[in-house]
Amino acid sequence: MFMGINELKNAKNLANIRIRDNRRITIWLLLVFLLLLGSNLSNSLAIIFNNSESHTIVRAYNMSDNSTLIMFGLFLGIILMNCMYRYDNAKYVVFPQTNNSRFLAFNLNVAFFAVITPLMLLLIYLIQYGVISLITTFRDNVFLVYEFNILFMLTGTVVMIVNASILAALINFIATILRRFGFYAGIFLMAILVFTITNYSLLSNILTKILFFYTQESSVWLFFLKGIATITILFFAALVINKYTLYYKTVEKIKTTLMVIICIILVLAIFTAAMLMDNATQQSGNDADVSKSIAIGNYNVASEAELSLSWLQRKEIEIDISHLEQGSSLSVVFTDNSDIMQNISFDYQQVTNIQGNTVVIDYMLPFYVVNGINVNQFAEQKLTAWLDENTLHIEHNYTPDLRAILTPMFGFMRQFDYFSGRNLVSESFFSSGAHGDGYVWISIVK
Amino acid sequence: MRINFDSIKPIYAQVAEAIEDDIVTGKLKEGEAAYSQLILSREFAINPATAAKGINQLVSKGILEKQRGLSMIVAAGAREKLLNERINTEVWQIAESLVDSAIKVGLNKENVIEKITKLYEGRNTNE
Amino acid sequence: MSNIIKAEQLSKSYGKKIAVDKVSLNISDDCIVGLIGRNGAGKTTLMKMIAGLLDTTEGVLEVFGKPSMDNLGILENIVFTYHDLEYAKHSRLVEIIDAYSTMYPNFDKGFAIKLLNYFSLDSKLKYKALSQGMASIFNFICGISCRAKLTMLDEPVLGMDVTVRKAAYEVLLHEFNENPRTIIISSHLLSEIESILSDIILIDEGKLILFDNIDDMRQSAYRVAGEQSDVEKFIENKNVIDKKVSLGDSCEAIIYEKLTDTPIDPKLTVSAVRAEDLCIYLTKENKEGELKCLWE
Repeated sequence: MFMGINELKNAKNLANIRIRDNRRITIWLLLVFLLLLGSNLSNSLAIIFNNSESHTIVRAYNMSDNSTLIMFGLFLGIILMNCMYRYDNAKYVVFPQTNNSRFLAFNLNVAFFAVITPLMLLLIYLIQYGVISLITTFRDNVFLVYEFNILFMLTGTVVMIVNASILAALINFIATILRRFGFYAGIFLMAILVFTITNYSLLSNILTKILFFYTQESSVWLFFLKGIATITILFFAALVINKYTLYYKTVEKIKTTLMVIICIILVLAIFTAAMLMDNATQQSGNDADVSKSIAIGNYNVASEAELSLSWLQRKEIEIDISHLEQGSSLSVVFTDNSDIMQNISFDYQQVTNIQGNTVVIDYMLPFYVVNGINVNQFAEQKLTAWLDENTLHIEHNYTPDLRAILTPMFGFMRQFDYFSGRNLVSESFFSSGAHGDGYVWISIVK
Repeated sequence: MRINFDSIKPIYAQVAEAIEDDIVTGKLKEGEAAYSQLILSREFAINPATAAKGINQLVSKGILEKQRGLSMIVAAGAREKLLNERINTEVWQIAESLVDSAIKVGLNKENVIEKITKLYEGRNTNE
Repeated sequence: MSNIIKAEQLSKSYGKKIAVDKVSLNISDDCIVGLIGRNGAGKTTLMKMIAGLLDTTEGVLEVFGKPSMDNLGILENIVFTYHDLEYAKHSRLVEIIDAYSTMYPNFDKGFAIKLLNYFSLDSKLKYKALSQGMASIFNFICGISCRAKLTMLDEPVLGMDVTVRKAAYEVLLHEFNENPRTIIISSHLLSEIESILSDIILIDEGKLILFDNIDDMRQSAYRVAGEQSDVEKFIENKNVIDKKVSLGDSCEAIIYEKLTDTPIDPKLTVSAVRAEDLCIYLTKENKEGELKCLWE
């Protein structure tokens, strides 16, 4: 069809040689990740084991949550690899190869990096999670906020691989066109980028729509379909264009002009990316509004939206006091092993003159919401009330010195309906945190 | 024997001569295998095709014979043939120029024979 | 004898500049061909076209019966090494040899390692740490270990000292005897390699001057020396390609004809012309007049 079996074997052999020659870079990459992990872990452990603070959130981030940095690094890396296409090929000129097998071997090399980087991130995450869950078995006050879900991890890795591959296929396609049409295509591309800057609202809308085609897709299977289709189309288009590119195996060193062009493209790419991100954040919601309304801590009727959040659930305890004399007084004792982070405001009415049969204790527990998850749920937080003759005891307790470890992973998975809202992934791009007071409202009804 | 690249004599002819020398001195015996082109190539550091040319020259002269298989053997009567050839080209030609030179300077036949006899005796006592 | 390489009116030009000018030749199998010519004569361009690394501009070029570019079946039987061959940075020699053995089906890895030991090259060295001579040795070893039916070596001994060069020629000849193939060597040291050659190609300014069996080429010219008057008389009606008059009326002439059996005036000395010298005479630009002017 496109290539015979011999060409494919040749491409595989060449790719193996190229990947083996890239060993150094791969190891350096892994070392950088491990180093970052090390510093992150030591930071997390310091917070976990210090006794000065109580009830702390430990943000044990790893590189895969806000993977923009990784994707940007991959973006630059793949651009660099494509710019060095001819220069790199000179290193393998002595081996038998064809135009197609050379092209395929190069793309397999890029694909290797697109696959190995998410896998390395997965490994880093597993190490991090493993170390921290080891600590949770020894310490009672340490909890992992995000649960361990194998399907989530594997799907996330594959989704990241698909993302990286789409990027690689796109850059490869553009690079192949530039190689074929050379100077004039470069001018054309430059003109488009300049146009983007000057009329950025128009073009950024188009670019944003294209971006959302992938990043707003809520079904995992559809995403895979879109991704694989895009990769296949772009790759085969590039393969066909490359077939008609005459390639003289003369050794070409990178010239300074080429480096200048690369730098300009990179700067413009950064600019475009920043613009698109700016656009994207305006589209998605902002947690600040939600937290503001809660922080007031009012116990008026909550709004619809607020009611749907689990930590804003109002609960009730009813205690029968019919055996008590009407008109007698009820003393209330409220104990709360709260610390500086939490607060329960305590309000009650008319307990000096009992005019009813039932005490209704209306309460909402204080919450500490981080990235859309109420961390207090790990604290076995509860409010208990019991009657001891004329004394109503209300007790609010939870695990002291809580250390809630956040190990968010694969933040981009929030685009999928299947995985969002399940304590697996942070719900928004930006980390957010809000804590609100709880309240206890005592009333006596008939 | 070393190949002389400056000689007017072609390389393959020098190779042939080297084989002939070894036949004459008895190092290569009649009926036995002569040097192959690979051995000659290695010995003289020349391309085997050049060595083969030398061998072929001897084959066409009747000095070497192609046998079943790859090897060349020294043909029967090769040594005698070579000796005769050398006698004719070397020895008798030199004899001719000796006589010519002797006549030119005025020596007569008896002087020459006397000298030659003395030379032979000298060689015999030395052996 | 099958034709390994067939070129007919083969030309290669870069715009106005003509690198190879209508070259026609047929190279058969199992021979060692010397590709001789001055710098920039077009030797490397010709070899690159045969190796499928350059496109041809005009003419026909067939290697093993087909054009070699992008043809894997043919390219696996061709190896082309040159002295500034590049490999991946930080590669060790043993890794490069592994790469060769995957890409070339006939590559003999054990033989290559033995050769590395023979030439005292540590296989764990990095390629970029090698000096020019050592790199040439290494590329030479890789080239002949490929056991490719068509082996092309462009200046394989550049940078090697004389001891190593002699060892290399010995190894080449021995390997050729064990595993015959077509070897094309381009070199400036014709005097050193002429003994192991079977054929010679002379290229000048892109044109094919000569393609001959080395023995025939050696016989194709001779030198006469003697008194000027005798020499002048002798060289009448002969193809003279060089004549030099020097001290005391002595004269030397190079005659580009086969030496006949007719007896020559005993006052003249007849000697052979070294192949290297013959190449110089056939490609010479006459700069004698210019030389004298340099000090005036």
